[in-house]
Amino acid sequence: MSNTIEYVLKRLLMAILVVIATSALTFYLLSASPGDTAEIIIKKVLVGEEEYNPTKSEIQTVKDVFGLNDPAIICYLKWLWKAVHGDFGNSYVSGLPVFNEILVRLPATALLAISSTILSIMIAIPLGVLSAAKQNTVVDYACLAYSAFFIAIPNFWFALILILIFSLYLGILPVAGFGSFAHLILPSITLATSMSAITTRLTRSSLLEVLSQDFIVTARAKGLNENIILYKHALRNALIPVITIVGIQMGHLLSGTVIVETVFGWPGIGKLLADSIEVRDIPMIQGCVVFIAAMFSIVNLLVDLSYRFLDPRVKYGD
Amino acid sequence: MGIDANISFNFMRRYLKNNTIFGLAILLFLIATVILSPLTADPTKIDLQNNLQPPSLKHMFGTDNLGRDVFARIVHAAKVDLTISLVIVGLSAVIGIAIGLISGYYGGIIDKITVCLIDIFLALPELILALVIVGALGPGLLNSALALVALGWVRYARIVRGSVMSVKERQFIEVSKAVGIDDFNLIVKHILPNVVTPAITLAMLHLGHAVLSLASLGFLGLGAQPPTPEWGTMLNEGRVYLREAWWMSVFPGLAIMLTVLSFTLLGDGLRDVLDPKSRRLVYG
Amino acid sequence: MDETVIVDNLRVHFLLEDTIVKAVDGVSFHVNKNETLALIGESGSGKSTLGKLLLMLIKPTSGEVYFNGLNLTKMRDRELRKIRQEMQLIPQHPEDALDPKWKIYDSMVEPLRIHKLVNGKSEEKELVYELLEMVGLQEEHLNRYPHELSGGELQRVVIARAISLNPKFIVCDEPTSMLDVSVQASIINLLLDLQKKLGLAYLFITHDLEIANVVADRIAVMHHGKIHKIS
Ligand SMILES: Nc1ncnc2c1ncn2[C@@H]1O[C@H](COP(=O)(O)OP(=O)(O)OP(=O)(O)O)[C@@H](O)[C@H]1O
Ligand SMILES: [Mg+2]
Repeated sequence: MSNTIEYVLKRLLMAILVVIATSALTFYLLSASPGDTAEIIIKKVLVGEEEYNPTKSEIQTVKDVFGLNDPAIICYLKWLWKAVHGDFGNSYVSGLPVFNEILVRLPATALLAISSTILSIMIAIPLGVLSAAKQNTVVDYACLAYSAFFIAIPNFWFALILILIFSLYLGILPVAGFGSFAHLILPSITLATSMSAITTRLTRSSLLEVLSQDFIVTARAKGLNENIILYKHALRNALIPVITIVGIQMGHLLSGTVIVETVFGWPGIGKLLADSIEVRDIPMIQGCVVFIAAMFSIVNLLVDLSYRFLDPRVKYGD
Repeated sequence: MGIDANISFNFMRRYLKNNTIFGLAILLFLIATVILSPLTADPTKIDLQNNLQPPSLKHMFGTDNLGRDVFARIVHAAKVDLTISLVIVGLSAVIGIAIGLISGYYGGIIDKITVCLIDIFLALPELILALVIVGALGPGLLNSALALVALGWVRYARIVRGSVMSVKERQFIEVSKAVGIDDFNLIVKHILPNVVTPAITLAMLHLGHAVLSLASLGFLGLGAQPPTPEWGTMLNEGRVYLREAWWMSVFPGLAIMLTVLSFTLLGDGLRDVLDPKSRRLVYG
Repeated sequence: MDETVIVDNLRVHFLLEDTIVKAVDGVSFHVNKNETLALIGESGSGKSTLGKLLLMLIKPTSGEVYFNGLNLTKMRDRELRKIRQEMQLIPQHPEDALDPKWKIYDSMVEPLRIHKLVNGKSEEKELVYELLEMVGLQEEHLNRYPHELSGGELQRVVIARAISLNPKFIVCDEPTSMLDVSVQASIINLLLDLQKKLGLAYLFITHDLEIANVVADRIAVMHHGKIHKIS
């Protein structure tokens, strides 16, 4: 048991390190990139014209207001110090606290992530089981083809196709936006299909592997019902690796949402990040990245733990 | 329901073989279009009189908002997307393999730093990091490629490092040292050939992934800038005209899909031939 | 000066997570020219480690190794690589002693190329055929990969490779332990034969007392990293 705690602590420490490293990298990249930050704020945010030529005094004023007088490393350390205390600075664009803005956007992204994960499982596990149960038949082949195609289909394109069919042609679902169940359908389908492509294949191969193991062969020899074997004994064991993949995908979902939220005008963190990058809202970008890194690390840790919990053969420690 | 391992193996073999041939066919088709691309219409010629024309005999895939021939743009974009992706994969592979070799062979502090970097890079969704890098460097094809290389080497380094750690303990390495080989030749002539196989498979899958990532950045307006034809950028332009001109969005996406499909199938086939024991599913 | 190799109070300690493995723990002996010193001891007693130490394939924790009067422990890597011509290793596992990606021919000529001992392809081929004959292999083996050869054939290739540099001293690390009894005898005969012809000194590691009696001029017994007696 103490082994578990030690492992969790070690992983948590690593996660914190990763998040800090990410924030440092982001900060370094954004502040070391071509163009003076103050100038960019004036051009992109305050005036909104790329060609605008700010005067010296304008630049100085902006530097004073946004606290850009210090060298980058000092700026970063100041930011880090505040961030540790829950203050991620204010958006250059809206002037509002970054942390609040992210919290406001969180439910939308969480809703999308959860609904598409559930949907992807609802697609992938039946397909994977069907594929394995009807191995080497047309059904199996179709399921494999499904997954091959959806690995290759770019989700931003699939989103447009869905809009084209369901919103513009059939007119039964809204093109974009947020607020009702109808708005949730297309973004969820977009994300779920691409996630399920991988999970289907994994469920199939994992189930086939379990079905060839000794205890299943024994159960068969005893004359147990095939369906009971398949669902009760085999599937339970086969789902362990599937859970891992689903968990990892939930982490990657955060990058999928950048695109899908942009296409569907979904007011989540992904869209917030994309928009902030467009106007170079550094504190906001910084906040989003740190937040996503933290989420990703936590999800990964939880996945690992559940995996280790479900599969007693896995030992703790690296 | 038969779980006859033999039958299933043969089936998989056949399935994979057919798929590989299919993938190869798509790839050859793509290469042919790239070679024949000078024969198409001028992809940058603006003709506002004939904008947003649906597919017809004259314009196989219709025209875009500026009256440019969508087919010609897709074909020319193939050149851009394929070459840039190839460069991304090539550079990532070379850098990653070199880092993996050095860090796996020498160990010590270099290895600790590499492992730490790998952990950090893999602890984040790739597209997010790419977005930040491109956001910092400024949009553009070159910067996108740079960002994707900066992230792409990691997986090569990881698998190569792991293999090196086990290969360097093998006896033939010791025997070569005993006859007086120097480190450079040992690494290049003995270790590299024995660790490179999984990296080659990875590269094939990475190609598909690179096409997707490059197009994603293009779609978000951070990749190739107009008027350069690039599939993702074309989709970004077409998105606005989805209602009026579906062809502006549908065809570039099909091109991306076919390309990625081809590389994925070829990657699967390659792995099947090179190391049949492994069963990694996709790039990632 | 009759000694080829002199070992003085050699130690190597491996640091594992929470223990120290004293694989070789204060060993002194010498090997004369033209002589076979057999090293016997049970598994894990440190025989292979000691062999590698003599060839500086592992750096000792403390102690000295002299080879023809030169202190190997004080040498730089570059100088060591030159000296390696004169001392060679025949390792414990012939099936893993050759790079699986290299053809036998390439593995055979590797030492010659490293030390630039041949000029041109024809001279190289001549030397390889000479070596083939010495160890009793056929030309047809040259174009194969290691997995296409038997254990005995592989061991012959390894021996050919080792003697190609005209060494004075070879560490033979259980050169026959992985082979059939009949093949064992022929390999041992080959080694003894070569010793006479080329004037070699062997450190012959084995845990088979019978073999040690056949090949050795003197026998050293190793136990827990220490040499207990030399007779
Ligand atoms: N690189 C290493 N790191 C840690 N311990 C090692 C290392 N190499 C050898 N050892 C340990 O040193 C001891 C001696 O190993 P060595 O291989 O020399 O034994 P050996 O006498 O050759 O045995 P065998 O007859 O089985 O070949 C063993 O306990 C081994 O576990
Ligand atoms: Mg040994």
